[in-house]
Amino acid sequence: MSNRDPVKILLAEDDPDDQLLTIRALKNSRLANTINVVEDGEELMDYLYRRGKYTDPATAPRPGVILLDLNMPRKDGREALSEIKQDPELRRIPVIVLTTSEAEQDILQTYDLGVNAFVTKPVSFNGLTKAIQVIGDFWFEIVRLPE
Amino acid sequence: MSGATAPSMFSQVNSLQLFVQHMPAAVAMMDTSLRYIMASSRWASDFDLHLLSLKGEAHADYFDDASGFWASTFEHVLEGELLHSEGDPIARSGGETYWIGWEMRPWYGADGQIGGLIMFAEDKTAQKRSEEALRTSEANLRALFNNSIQSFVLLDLNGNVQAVNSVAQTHTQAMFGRAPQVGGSFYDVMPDADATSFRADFERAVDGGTTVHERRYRLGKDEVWYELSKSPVYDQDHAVIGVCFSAVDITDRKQVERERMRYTHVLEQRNQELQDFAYVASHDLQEPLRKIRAFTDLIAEDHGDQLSGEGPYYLERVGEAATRMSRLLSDLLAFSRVATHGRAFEPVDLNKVMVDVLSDLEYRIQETEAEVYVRRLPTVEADPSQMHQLLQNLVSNALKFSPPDQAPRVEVGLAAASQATADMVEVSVRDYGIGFAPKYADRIFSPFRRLHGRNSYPGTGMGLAICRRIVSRHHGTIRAEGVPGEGATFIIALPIVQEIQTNPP
Repeated sequence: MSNRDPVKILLAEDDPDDQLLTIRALKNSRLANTINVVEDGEELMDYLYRRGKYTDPATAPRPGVILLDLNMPRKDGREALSEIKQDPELRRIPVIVLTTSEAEQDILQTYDLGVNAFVTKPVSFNGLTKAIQVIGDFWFEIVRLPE
Repeated sequence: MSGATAPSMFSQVNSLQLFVQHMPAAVAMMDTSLRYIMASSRWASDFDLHLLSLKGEAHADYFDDASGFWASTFEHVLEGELLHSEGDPIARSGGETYWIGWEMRPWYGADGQIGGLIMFAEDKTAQKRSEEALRTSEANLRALFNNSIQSFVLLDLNGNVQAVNSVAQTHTQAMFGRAPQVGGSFYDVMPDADATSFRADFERAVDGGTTVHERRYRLGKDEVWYELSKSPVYDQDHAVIGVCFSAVDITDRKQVERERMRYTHVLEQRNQELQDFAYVASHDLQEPLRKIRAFTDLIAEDHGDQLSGEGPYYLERVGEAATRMSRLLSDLLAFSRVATHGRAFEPVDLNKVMVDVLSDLEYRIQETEAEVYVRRLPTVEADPSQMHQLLQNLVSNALKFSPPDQAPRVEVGLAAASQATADMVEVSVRDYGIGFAPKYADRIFSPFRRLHGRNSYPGTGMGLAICRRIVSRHHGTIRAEGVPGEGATFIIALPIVQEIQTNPP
């Protein structure tokens, strides 16, 4: 497993504090993978379709997993999720919703849209680090993903 | 009288008497002094005269004539007049008054002189009474019709006014500037616009249908609402012979309805705002707090060793304050959700709820070595998750508010001194902990109200406020009794059956 290419993570998160905290938690969990950040649903789709500022495959590698915030400006996480899961090319990329929401409705709706996992962010930073660690172990070590 | 003619004379008189006697009518023959010569048995029975024979009896001995009407009538007849009447009262002495139709004529003797009179009477008492009854009932109906505050117009099949009460006249005058006149067409009173819809309803009424409409009119600057109805008028054979048009002023009712709708709308809006606020409290306000805590953690992790003196302690306090505020916000959200996120009522076995509550609190019970006794509980119509929250809050309070050196003891069951009625049950949760002063018995149910410092007993002060909200949503009550140092009892009164099941507030 260790000789495998490190998984490229795409983080869709509009809040700079949360970007910082999530990246920090990823580093704490020793998931020093390539992390790219997009700030809203529109940018996320541009990235995945290599449009606009993401035309160069070198700066926009296809992600192995997408960490998705639900509430983002312009196009929110639900809309982006729905588009990703309807696209035959993109639907195989695992999408993990990482949100502060605990709303039952959000959980049901995102699973209906085809999310691979719904994670409510733990309140403390240590909790977040632990959660990211578990997510990392599961998705990057245990699970076999399509090449 | 000769012997030869006597039998034949006798038999003539005799058969005449028999003929008169059995006549199916009340007939009497009197002499000029108004004594009876003969009378038919019908006369005797009609006037209730129980005599073997009236012959020779004076009419005046049996009938009163206070007004002298009959005396004068007899006088005229005995002077040769022939009189009759369709109806006059005649009174038996000390007895009933009859209403009779009568005819009187004089009779002449062989000498050509008036020998007396013959009176024919027809008892019309029953007929008179029913006529009177009819007149009374007509008068009553007319009074109802005229004194009603509702407008009535009775129309014939051509739309001509048969009757109209004064309210209807006033209303139509005020509305259209013309009042309907009996005999005139009602359509002449109305403007064309009204006539069109009126005609449609009128025709439905003629076909046996009733229509009711609410209609708004402008009356100067004012707005007036009427409820208009047209219904068929039937004759005895159930054939439609006309239409009854009635109108009642419902302006006040309409105003009340509109006010109510406005208030309902305002209330719904306020509720929506509250829900929005709850969401803001739960999400948007939680967000910065989460970051305060996360970055405090990061400072401690990355730069903890550079902090000196009180630094690490202050940092810890920042984190704790943020945690507490986060908890307050979640509890506030839970409080507001009692009303907005309530589920429909269903029968809930509180025994089962208690089993779940104890299982949720299992760790705390073991940790505090508490003894929890649960006696048999009733089944009530309620929101199951709210019943869980209610009992869990109360039991967990009971576990919390006990002296640190003492294992808590909690008793849950039907209230001992129950004030319950047939429709309500009372459940009590009793502890033997620190209790509280009776003067706080009401205050402890207010949001964020606490009786102890956070250091001795943690909590946000929302638990009992949530309990009270749940109970009041279930149309019940909650009260508390406490003795400092001896314990507290919380008594919940809940209806066994909820009246409104489909749409709880």
